[in-house]
Amino acid sequence: MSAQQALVASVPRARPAARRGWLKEALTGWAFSAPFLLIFLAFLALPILASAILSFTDFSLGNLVDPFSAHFIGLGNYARLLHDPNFLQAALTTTIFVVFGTVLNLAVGLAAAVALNRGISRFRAVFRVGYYLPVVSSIVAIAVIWRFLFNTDFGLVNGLLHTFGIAGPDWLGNPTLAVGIIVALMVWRNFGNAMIIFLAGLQGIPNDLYEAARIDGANRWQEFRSITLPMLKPTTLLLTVVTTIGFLQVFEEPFVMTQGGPLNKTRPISMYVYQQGFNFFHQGYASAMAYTLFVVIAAVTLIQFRLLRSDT
Amino acid sequence: MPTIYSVADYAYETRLERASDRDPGPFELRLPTTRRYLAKMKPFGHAFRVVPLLALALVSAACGNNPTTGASVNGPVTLQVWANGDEGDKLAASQAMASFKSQNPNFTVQITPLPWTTAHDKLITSIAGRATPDVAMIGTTWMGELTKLNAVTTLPSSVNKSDFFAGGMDTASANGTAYGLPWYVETRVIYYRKDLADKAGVSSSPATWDDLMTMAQKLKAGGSKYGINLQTNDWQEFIPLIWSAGGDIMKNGKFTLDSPEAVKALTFYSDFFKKGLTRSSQPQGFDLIQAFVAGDDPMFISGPWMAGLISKAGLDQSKWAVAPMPKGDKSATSFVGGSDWVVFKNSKNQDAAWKFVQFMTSKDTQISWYKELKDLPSRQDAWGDPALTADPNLKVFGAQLKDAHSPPNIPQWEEVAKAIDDWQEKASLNKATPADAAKGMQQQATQIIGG
Repeated sequence: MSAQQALVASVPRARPAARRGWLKEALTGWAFSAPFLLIFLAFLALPILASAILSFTDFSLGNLVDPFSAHFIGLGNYARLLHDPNFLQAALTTTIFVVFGTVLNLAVGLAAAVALNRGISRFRAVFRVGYYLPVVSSIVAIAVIWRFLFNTDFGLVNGLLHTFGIAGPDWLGNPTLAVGIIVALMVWRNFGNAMIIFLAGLQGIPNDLYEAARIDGANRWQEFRSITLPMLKPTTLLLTVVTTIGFLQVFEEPFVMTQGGPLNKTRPISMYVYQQGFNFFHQGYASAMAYTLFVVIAAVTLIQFRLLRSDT
Repeated sequence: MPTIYSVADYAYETRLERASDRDPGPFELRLPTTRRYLAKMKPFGHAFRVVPLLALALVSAACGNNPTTGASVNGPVTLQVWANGDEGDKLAASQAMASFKSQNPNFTVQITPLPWTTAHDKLITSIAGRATPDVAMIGTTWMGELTKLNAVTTLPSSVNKSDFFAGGMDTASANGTAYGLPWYVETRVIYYRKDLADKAGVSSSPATWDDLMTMAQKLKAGGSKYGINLQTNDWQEFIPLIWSAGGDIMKNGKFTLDSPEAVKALTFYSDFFKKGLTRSSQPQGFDLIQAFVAGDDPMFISGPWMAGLISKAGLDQSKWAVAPMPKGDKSATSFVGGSDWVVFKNSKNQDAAWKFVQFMTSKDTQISWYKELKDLPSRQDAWGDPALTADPNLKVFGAQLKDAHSPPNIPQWEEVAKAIDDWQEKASLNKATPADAAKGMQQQATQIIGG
């Protein structure tokens, strides 16, 4: 018998013991994952499924007592969305938040990362922590403080403007300014994330490239354009995907700062979903909206991943 | 970007900031009609949250329920009572409860105090889960929802409805049927700075709309930053003007928000903004009391809870006064709010529950309750008590209560109110003419009730 044959022959004999071991291992595994799985099924999978079904019904307040009295109305909720001026306004607001928020978030994050990586060496850790701090703070606390900063009468911003003889505007009372402030808050709060990931990307760029460029007589800007930016492309695309998804679901910032006003110009889709679902109890309609948002997020992500894959 | 944070933190922070909002102080959260604010505080934006509720409903539906006939009130009875806000907190140890217990030794009353911030949700969830208490205290705009959910019993015919202020009784009714009893009421009147008005050459309180406008102009000309404090989007401030102009919110089941009267009311209201007589926005955290004491905003429209806050802020009683709403084309109508008692259909002790409610709304209880918490009695006869007649401000509220309405008790009211707010804001900020805004309100409101 060759060694191989001996091994094959020994397998059947070994199997019962192995199976018993496997079973025990599997049971242990399931036992450990059961608490999570049960919670996941009960509080995530089931609700997701149920809200998918709800989105095809006219479920609203009256159905709370008797859920099965809701009627299936097919794509009625989805059709209604297209004619709801409030939804269209919310979609526009969300788009503004996502486009401006994402671009600024990446730009500021990159600038901070480059500055930390090359320029500032002495207090690098201090700055890194400082820029990252807003990311880990409570968004509600931050938004409340920002609201006070931009208070028309007593706010710090208008107070400073006043010392220069400028009459400060009604920041959160003016729709355009309010949108701008919320974008600024979103960027200020989140760019630390982008910065950290950009920093990691920057540290992965081999120094040889910069040395070679310097020998060729490139200046800082040329180095940045021709080496740093191209080498950071995968990082940038990853961050774009993550930030876009995050900003598409933005809720807390406008909720605390403006409650969607003035003139509903700062109300994103997620807040409108919430109002329809839990202020007015149109849960069928709200589910349809939530699913529309989900499809948009999935589509945007898919497109971005395509870009990510083809370009790198 | 959404991050995970504690729901409790959120609720706490929002409550803090709400407490310091437009009507600050301990009474703010008692305003039952601020339900839409409360509702806004719920932290999740996901429709996925529907489902636990749904699951709950399914489970409890499977368990079944048994609506029962009224039990004998003579045997031992246990009543579950949910009460909200300050009233809920103080009810258990109150004089009123003590005398109820001594008169009804066979009753055990278990009181669950709820904050106004969660009371509405908890009540709706309890109805969905068929786990309602026997008796609950509700906000004045909830009745439409409760009757739509077929959750509450009708008022026993033995109760004399005319004992109560009509405006309060309306909040406890839906579709012409009474389902509950008003416990306490509140109505809105004009607060103004008497000293500043004297200085500006205004010797009497505003009797008509024109007077109000002139007074605001004079106060502003006299050195105040603004003439009056109004909100760009607050239906509670706006709709009384429609009534005063002779219009209505609804007539025969149809909205009348684009009637000439409503347009007139909206024109009048938005004029204050166009003429710069009021702030074009009120940042959250704006303290009206401070602005009133400082003289920046020398007039505003609000309820009885503001009087104590003004005194607390240190403004001498001689420097300010309250006045009834000014007269429009037809009347000088105000808004009525407060809170009502209801008895649930699922209660096994309906007779006992009504006995409790009738005790809580009796004349003696209302007077003792006024002494305890300064809640305005919903019964007209309670107002003759010396405890109430001694306060000159209360006379104004008492008189105003005789001409005060509540919004129609339809289940979709909150949504309609939001539509009114939205269009009112457009008119106030000059983004729509009053006529267009009225048309917008009418159209959106009609769509909401499916007309």
